[in-house]
Amino acid sequence: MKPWMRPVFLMLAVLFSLSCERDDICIDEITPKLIIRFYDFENPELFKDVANLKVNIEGTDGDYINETITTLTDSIALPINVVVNETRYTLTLQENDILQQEENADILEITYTQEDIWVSRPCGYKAVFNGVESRLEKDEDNWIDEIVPLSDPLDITNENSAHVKIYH
Amino acid sequence: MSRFTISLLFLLICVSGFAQRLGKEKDTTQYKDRYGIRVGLDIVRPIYSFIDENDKGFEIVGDYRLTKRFYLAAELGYRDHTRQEDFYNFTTKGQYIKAGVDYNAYKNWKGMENMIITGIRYGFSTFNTTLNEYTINSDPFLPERTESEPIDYDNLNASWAELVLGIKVEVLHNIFLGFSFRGNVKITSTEPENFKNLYIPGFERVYVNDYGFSFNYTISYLIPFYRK
Repeated sequence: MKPWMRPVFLMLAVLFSLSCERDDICIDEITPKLIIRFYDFENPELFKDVANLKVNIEGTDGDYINETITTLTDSIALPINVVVNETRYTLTLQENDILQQEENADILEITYTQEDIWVSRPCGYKAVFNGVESRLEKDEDNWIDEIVPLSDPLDITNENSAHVKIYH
Repeated sequence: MSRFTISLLFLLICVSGFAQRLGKEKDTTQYKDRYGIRVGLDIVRPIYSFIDENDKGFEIVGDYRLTKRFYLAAELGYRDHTRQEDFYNFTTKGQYIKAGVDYNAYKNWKGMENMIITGIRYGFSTFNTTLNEYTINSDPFLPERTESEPIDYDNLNASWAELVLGIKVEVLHNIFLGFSFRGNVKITSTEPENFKNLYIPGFERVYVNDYGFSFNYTISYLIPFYRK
């Protein structure tokens, strides 16, 4: 190796060791969803699964969740509308008997204020929701007995834990 | 007759010896290196500015020869850069200065002054960034919200260290063509509130761990001051 080549090779080695970490894929947490956990109304300490739940969000077509008969779940995550400061969900429980099918739709409404927060280069901005109020619309036959926020005041800033409890 | 021949031979030997001595003296003056200031500009930036309205800028470069192998070097430039990302787009405008030392790692043939450059720079930039618009990154099932009111972040600055690797070749008398590749590491920066410096003039794109890369193609002219 000629003497002048040594610093050149050293420089090349340094430059290549500065690895280019790919940073155009969004892997950070974006706008959080509303996480609902289902509890037993008679036994408030216990989770109670819901089966055949259908969720419709006001202002959109089609169902957001349309679970098949076999799935049972004790929690759901629902997107929150960032265009307006309230979102109305229609949670429809399909009670399947062998003989008949019954549908019971309950309406859950949340209101909030929004804050836009910078996340990262690939993700851009997310919204977080402050002062969230949840309300159950009463009808003659509610399958939901009670909605309880997990903290008061309720701020939805991440998806690490549930935000509201539904007793049924 | 023989006496005449002999004296002619003597004379010729003397003359040839004298001529050789003259030639030697002339050689030593010819191979002295030129010292001076070299100024030039980036030749690719103006072309970019012309074909891409989102990437305008220019750069002037200069160096001053200190010793046989070391040069003081500096770059001065301006950038106006707009970038569209998935959920937002922004414009950064500003100027920068880079100053440092170049080391010529190439051992030239006598009379040539080409360079293989390894160098270091300290870079400093002051700039303004405008977040032109952004769309909230949320669940695509629901309609999206786009904020199109531009937000200005003024009086930002950043500093960084730069490793330079490049070449400079004398293509015509006193005219040099050069290329250099630079690896940057950010040292300090004033970050905008609720946003980030994603592009810094001179540093260019800021990668996730504060690294960056840039390059330039230059044409420059040597103004010789003295020979040594």
